[in-house]
Amino acid sequence: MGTNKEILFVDGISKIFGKAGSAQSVVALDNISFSLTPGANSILGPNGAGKSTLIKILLGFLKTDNGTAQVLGYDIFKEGKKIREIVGYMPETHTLIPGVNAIKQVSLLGRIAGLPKSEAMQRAHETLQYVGLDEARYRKVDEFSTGMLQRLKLAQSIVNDPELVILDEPTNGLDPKGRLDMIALIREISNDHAINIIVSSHLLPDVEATCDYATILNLGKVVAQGGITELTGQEAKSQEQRLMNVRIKGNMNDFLVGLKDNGLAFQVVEKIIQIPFLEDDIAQRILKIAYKTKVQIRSISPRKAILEDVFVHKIENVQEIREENTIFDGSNMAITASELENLIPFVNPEEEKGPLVRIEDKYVRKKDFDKAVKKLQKKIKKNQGESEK
Amino acid sequence: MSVFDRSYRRYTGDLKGRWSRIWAIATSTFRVQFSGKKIIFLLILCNLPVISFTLMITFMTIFSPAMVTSFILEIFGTVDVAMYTVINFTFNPGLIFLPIVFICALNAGTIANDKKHNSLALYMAKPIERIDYITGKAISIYMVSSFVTLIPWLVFMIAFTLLMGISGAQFTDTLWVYLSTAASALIVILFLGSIVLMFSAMSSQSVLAGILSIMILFLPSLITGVIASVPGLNVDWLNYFSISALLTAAIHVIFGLPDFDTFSDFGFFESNIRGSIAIIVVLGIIVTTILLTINQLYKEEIH
Repeated sequence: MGTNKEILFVDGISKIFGKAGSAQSVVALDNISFSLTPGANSILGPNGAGKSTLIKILLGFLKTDNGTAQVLGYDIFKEGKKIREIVGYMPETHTLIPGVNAIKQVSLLGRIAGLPKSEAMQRAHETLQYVGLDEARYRKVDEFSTGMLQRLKLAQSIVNDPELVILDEPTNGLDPKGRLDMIALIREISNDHAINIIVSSHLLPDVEATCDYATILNLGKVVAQGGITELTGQEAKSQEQRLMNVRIKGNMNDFLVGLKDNGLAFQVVEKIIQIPFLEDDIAQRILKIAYKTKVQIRSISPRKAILEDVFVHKIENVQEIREENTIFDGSNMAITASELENLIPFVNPEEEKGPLVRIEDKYVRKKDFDKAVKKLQKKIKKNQGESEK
Repeated sequence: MSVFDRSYRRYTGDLKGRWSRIWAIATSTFRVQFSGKKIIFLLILCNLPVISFTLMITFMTIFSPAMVTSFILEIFGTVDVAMYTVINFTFNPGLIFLPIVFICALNAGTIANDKKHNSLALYMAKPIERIDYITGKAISIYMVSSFVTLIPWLVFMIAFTLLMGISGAQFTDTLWVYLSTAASALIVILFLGSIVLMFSAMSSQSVLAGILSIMILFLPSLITGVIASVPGLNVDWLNYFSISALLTAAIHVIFGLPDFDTFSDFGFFESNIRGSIAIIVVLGIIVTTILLTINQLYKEEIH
């Protein structure tokens, strides 16, 4: 059960599109469980990770195959209407109500949310002003640009003063200025008005700029969760090669030769020398080399891990795990998809009639798959027996 | 607080109930359907028969008040039959296509346009159920449809009552026409509106929904008309497939046939099918189309 302190509590939710077990079925969410605390949260993941599916389930647009969830303490199956009363939603897709102007669209959606007519109109004016669409209030929404539509969608999502706003890819299709404005607005809504937000995005800089917490989804599973500072800190520690960023003034070549002579690897990225952070006294060693080669150190600092590092790292991990688990049912046998291709031929699912097994984005016949697994298991047992002897 | 301040205000008031939300959808959709100058032209065209009768009675009353009474009584016998005849005349198979085209043209985009522009995601993210959305849209369609049925008929009858100076016991005698007209209008509105609503829910192209609605409402009548015109064929039962025949027969059940034969040569009140069966078929079609619409929209995926 979720607690009162959680804005979202997800417990074992699964969603499969298509008939379960069939070749065409897609596992969008795979028994995911997590919770979010009040504040600015994000759900991150590449396209197809299951972010939008999860949001649609939370809002009651889609049914789940398994599991349950609570939004602001309300059960998504029993109290969907109550949830939608206190949650604002900014959809990802290009959505508008045709034939009306901006003020009418926002006030209508305010009325549908339960606001009295006059209050809905008043708040529609205010929210359109707030998102910067005051000049375009009386223009037909059919004529709006993508940027204006994004703002309009944000306005309608906050018109009824929700406790939580779910923003699905809020910066999609925006130009750089529009993107920065949208980020500032989202940040303001969260910080200044104490409205909880959940930003679903695949654009990591936007999430870093707007949110404090991130839940990373990939292939329908939660692969990481926590505060963004915490996640990036963990990432920095877990990176095999942490880097020191060094800026110098003087002869770059001499300094690089000095590094090489002292057994230090490096790479130069836009005049910044990145040196692997192998030991604690690395800074001392760099300073000594600089002294010897007569260059001036302008700055020396460890490279800060960004959310992108966490994202890429976590996604890579889950693909490996998923592959092992899917193919060998947790037997800890690591094998890549390309190695597998030598054992089992990949097939086109549209041409096959029999049962198939999906491995990442490829398919193999189930009978071939079962044969290969048995063969490999025998081989491993044999190898283990020989090594024990 | 001024509406021109750029700030965010918290809302602490009460929220309105379900019917207020449904009504908001209905009125908003109605305004969108009724916007545009062409609508007025179309509205006048579709109501031309009723407008003509109303104007005729008005001018006759102004310029020759004595003649109008004798004219009405001579031809129709009583004023209620006169009112009934005019309204029933608009169900003439040749005239019924006007409201059909109007209702299809204006309402075909009611749900189809929302599907096309993904508006369902906006509506359904608010605290309403899909059935509330469907109800709101249906009310809007029925409201639009009433502008070519109930409203012009009532306007005609009120004008007729006032111009003829009908009052007292004579007015009481005509009340049945008002009630029957309201019941007939309801049948026509529900029948035509529900068919258009269904096609609008099934397509995301308003033009396609409109064409399909018109075809379904016209083609059977046309085909049955052609077959029935073949000499020697006794195919009266085919009229159960004719929309105009069905509606006319159903309305005759509500009104009852007038006890006079002045217009019998024109065949206005002729019906080759049984009214009771017609009304069951009409009600059956209304219920089926509404259920299909609900089913369609509950299946609809929200993007």
